[in-house]
Amino acid sequence: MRWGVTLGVTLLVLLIILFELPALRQKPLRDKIAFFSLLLCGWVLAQFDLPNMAGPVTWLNELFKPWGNLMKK
Amino acid sequence: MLEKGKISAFQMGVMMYPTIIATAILSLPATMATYAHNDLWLSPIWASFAGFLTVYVSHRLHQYYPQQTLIEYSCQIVGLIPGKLIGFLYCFLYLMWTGQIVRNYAEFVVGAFLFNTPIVVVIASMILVCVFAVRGGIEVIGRAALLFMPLFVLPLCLMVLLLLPDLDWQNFFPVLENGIVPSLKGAVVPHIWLGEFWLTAFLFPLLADSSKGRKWGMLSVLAVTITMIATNLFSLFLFGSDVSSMLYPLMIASRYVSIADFFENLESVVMAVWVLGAFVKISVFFYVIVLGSAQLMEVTDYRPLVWPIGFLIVLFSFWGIPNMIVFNYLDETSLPYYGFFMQILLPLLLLLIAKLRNKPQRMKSAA
Repeated sequence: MRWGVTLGVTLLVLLIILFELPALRQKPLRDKIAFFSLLLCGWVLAQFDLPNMAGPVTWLNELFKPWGNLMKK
Repeated sequence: MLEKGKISAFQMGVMMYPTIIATAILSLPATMATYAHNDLWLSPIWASFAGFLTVYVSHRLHQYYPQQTLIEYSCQIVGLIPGKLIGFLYCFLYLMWTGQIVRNYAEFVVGAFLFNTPIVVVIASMILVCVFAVRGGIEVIGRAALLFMPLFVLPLCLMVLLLLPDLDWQNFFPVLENGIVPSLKGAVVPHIWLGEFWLTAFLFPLLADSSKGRKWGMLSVLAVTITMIATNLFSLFLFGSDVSSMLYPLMIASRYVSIADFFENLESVVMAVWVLGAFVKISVFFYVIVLGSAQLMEVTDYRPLVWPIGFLIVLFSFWGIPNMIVFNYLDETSLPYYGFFMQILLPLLLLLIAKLRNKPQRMKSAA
């Protein structure tokens, strides 16, 4: 765990919530769920060592690599 | 409709131009030169077919389903669940691409100018500016694009003028030395950039004068193609066969300029242009993700989603990309192929199904 990052990201997420909350209060539940679930996704992702982790780009690369290698010939 | 604002078709055309060109002029000449060598100026012409095709397809779909974006009409075309899945794929794809665009922008800034700045600062500050633009809605982005357009184009033209004495026209020859295949291979990567005109599928419903949408879309593709041909020819005339070994040919070209000991260090101009262009590009992509995901989740307002998605873009700019070597490798081995699938094949399939679906209705109304 990198505590500094966790702390910073939590602070950032709280700031975003504080910024949006006044406007979000009047919105239906669906909007609130969408907002908080996206923020939660971001918070969870930020806990990992993202640059050195396999991501969607890596998966897509594994899937489409044969085409790319075909081109390089 | 989530977006109350409207833009004109002309604004859309102007908006799409830096959206494609901003990243294309920097690294693409080198990529095209790797495959096409001397014929790199032909590759954008082949690639432009992808641009014209996507604008055509997105406009046809817009005619079938006016006032609806891709996210909404894909549910009507293929049914609720597959439609939502397609919508999710596009939102996710654009989220991923925006992350890569921001990363590309930041690596360039850090690599060429701000050597000691942590990259996350450059990324976060750009996203912060874009968040405010996107929260302002499509009108703000449209106007910002209109405002920045001259600032984006004029310095480039000026640079070409200043470098005219250094150009060597002989580098143009031999034309088509190894036949047409190398230039076609060179078009594989740039066709993704022109395919990005598929973003118009989200923008057509926002037009105040949608009858002119196709015209300005096509003109924008044409302008992008001409600019790409011009920058390619320019790098070829200046560097000859060395273009392919350079990471950012235009950047190096700007360092060449030295006239009367007065016009020097023009790389700062390229930098300014690049930041402006990147701002418009990232804002347009960002806006499309926000609007798309708001429609996907059927919320009442897209504005609350801007901050969380901006945060996700920052994270996606790092996810799976340890350095620029991996980044460039990914760009060449897989991006053109899934990009082709998402920007050309899938839209064509949607158009085909929409056509079949709407046929009986029209016959009924005619009878």
